[in-house]
Amino acid sequence: MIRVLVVDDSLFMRTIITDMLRKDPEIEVVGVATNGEDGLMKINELKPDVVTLDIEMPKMDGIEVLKRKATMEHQPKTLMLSSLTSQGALMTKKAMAYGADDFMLKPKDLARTRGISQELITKVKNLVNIAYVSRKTDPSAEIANKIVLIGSSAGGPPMLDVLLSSFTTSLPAAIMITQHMPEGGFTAALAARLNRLSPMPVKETENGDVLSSGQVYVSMAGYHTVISSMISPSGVKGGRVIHSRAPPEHSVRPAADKTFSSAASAFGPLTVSTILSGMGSDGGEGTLAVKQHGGTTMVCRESDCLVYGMARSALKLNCVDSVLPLRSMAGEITRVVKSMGG
Amino acid sequence: MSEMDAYRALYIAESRENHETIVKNLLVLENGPDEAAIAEIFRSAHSLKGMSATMGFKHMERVCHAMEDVFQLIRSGQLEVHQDLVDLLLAASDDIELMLDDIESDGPGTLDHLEERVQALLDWKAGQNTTGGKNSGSPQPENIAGDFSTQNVGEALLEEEEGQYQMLIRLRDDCDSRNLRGMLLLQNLDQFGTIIQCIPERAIVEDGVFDGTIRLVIRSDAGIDALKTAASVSDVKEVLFGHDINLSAEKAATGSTGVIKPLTLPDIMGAGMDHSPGISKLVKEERVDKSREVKNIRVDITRLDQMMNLIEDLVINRGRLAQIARKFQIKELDETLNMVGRSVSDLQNLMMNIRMIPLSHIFNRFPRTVRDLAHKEEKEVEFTIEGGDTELDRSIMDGLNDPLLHLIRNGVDHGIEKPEIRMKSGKPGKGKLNLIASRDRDNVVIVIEDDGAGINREKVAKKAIERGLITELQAVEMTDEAVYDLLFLPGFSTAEKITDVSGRGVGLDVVRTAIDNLKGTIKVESSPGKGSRFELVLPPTMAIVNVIMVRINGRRCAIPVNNVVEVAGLSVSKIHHIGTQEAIMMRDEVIPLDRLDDMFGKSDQTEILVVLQHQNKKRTIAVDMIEGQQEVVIKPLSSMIGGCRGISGITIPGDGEVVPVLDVNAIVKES
Repeated sequence: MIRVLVVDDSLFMRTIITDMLRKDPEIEVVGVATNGEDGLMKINELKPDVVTLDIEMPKMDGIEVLKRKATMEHQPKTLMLSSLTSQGALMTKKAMAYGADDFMLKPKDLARTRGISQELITKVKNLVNIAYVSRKTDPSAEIANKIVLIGSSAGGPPMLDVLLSSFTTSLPAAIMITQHMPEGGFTAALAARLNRLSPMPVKETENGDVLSSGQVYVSMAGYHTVISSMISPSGVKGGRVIHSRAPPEHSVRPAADKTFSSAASAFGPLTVSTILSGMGSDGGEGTLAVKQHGGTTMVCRESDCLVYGMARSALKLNCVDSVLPLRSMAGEITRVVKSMGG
Repeated sequence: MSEMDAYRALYIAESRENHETIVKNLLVLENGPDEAAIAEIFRSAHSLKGMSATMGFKHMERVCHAMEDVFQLIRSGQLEVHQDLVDLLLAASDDIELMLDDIESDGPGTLDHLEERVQALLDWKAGQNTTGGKNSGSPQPENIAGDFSTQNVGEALLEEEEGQYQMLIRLRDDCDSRNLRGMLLLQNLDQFGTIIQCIPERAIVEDGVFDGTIRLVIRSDAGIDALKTAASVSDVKEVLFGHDINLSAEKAATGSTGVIKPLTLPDIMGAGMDHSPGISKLVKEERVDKSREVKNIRVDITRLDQMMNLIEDLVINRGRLAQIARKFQIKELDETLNMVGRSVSDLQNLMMNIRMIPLSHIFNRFPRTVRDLAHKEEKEVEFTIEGGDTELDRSIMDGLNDPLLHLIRNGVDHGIEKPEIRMKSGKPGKGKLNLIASRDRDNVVIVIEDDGAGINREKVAKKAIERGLITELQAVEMTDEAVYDLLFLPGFSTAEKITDVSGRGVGLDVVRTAIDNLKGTIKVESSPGKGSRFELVLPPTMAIVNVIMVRINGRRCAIPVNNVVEVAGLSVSKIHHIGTQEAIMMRDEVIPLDRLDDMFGKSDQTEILVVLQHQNKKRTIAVDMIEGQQEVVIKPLSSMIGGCRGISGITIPGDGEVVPVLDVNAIVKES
């Protein structure tokens, strides 16, 4: 049984979060707190496994709770619930820096959005079940000559948790994640989160990044990450990240299509693409481009995904090599990458 | 109730609270900057926006978001609170209320003038940005605006036409494969746009027969950072854009590097985090004001009413059981019933307390009313509220809002004079209006006082004579108190012109009726030139009343203790006859005596006098005997019986007998 404490100053939010969590028999909401001070007291008192934490609260905000919690004896995992604004993004980034374990955007348009509770439940479970990696492989300074592309949207973050934490060793390729998120800092927070789970170092992309082997990148929201081929002064061929402000595609930015297509032309057959859960049709064209350049294409199987729009858009174009369960994706990616020449 | 319905109800309740907080604090802001108020508005708007997003009420979300943005600026000290801005924000909060009303009646919560309102708010945000309070000329990241868009400000300046850039790219002098580098960078740029013009031409670049400088015009939507990075391949010394080209070309000639350092996103974000005061404040802010905290759960009031009814039944049945125990002399049952009795009365007290809500619940709306009214009437009013935490039963609270509102409007409209008139009489231009609530033993006292002109006795008397309410002779003889009392007569209004405010053809009589219905009293005092004072005395709760049980002609009857001034023995000799009316003389006071023969039948054994008081009038009634004092639950008469003059309700004491409760107000008035 996972014991959860819900901290939020809004009764409305507390009710919704509690109701969502109660849908899972393995989760027990052991208490609620209405502000940070109350929250800290209840952490001490109830010793929950997981705390869901609001940021803007009277008396003591979520950031302060994280700071104070750091010195406490009982250390529950924390899941920040962030509001969907640039300000919220900034605070989320800060929260991750202060040791929050994960974050999630507060539910939007409850009546018409399905699966939010499932995502919350999965996140809470991941917090408890997925072990944090204490030792990291060193980021190799080596310029990557292969690339693994991951595209995901709604329902994607908890899957990324699972996928990245199941790599056992460093991969001899750069891994580029395109996760749809509002801009402002959420992707940086996501990178911080994944960095704690993955044996490989994870960072948010920066304009001009030279892709190195064994490094995971999370596309910065607000830009399209375009992979541009490059030749180093010493003559080694590789890829570079260029942040493009071109208008959103499929109304998202970053769009997986942009990253996938540009990576395919830069890396050719040494490209592996995967699609996880996601709404909409981004990723289909990109997967096709990877296929056309001789790369390997995969999508996750439907039963593991909250939403199957993105994967389906690729399947419709008949360009997918394999459909895999989430659990075996890391192994399969490793196998394919290692079998590639170059 | 489905899950969504339950959420909707919760949403409405909490949103109303947030809305109230916003309005309350906006009014605080009107009197000058107040950090706590700003922080609270920000948080309320933020919560409202978040909840609305969750519920999918898009219009609500947008209005609140725009408000939040404006307050973000105010909070970080970049926007000053201006009267026009407060007006706009208040208008926006009115919109919020409208939308909430709509949502509450199952509507979609949409707003007709949404775009207009949001735009007006955004204009404030934008307007302040360009005139720039604090940022002095130097281009700063846009995050000042609270919108952490990652767009480089420089981009806007350098873009000569929409999406068209002039670029100058210089390779390092020692670059040994100019053709390769040149080709690569042009290819990279191709990824991001269309190269319209290139000097030297591509073919020449590919041949490597150029001096290492490429000038080009490119059309692209990828932004300046992307283009700069795309062009910055190995061996590139510098990449310049737009009008910087000429300037830097000279610099380059003198050997200085003149490279625009690429402004990366972390730089921008980092800068924002370090320098924007709004953000650091957000974290540091400690909440000290405990009274602002809300610690309660919401229960539908009808459920509380149901519970109250059940408790009342329990009280009645316990009384019955007690009688049975006595009748059959079962000692054990009696003892147990005593215990039950204690629990029941604890439960009853608890229930009463639960039903109590602080007066601030209705008081909070008044500052807005006063403000709007004062603006309209061109008056200056300092409105203070005290004792908002005094609690009253919810059922009384419901009936109190309108009379209070009326009295407050009266205070601004008739009481407080215009500034120039006040100055002439040596008073400060700004009038004072105080609303004070306090607990006085079992009652709640609410006072509304102003330092205005006071009530003009002559005017009131004149009007009353005109209306034929009193004669001229009476007018001269009447005490001030009695004259002021005339104000409460139906149809009386002293306002010389009918304003759309308080003189709407309804006068203070409506107020008095409302207060009467709440079993309360109202009293007015006034001194000319100094102001008026209205005092309301209310029972804290209506449901349970302390009564005196009496018998008249052998029948039982309950009289609320509130209305009883005194109980005395009746010795026949003291009865005087004034015309057909009997009266008694009590401490130099003549009090009319009533015998309630028409209600209870003629009694021969009246031995005791009960002196009743309502408002300032006293009456006395004769009763056979007094059984005692007890707390009872008063139930209204069933609608089938309808109104019954002189009886305000019935109560059922322990023995199960149905006992009428005397309506003292009616009796005092009637006779």
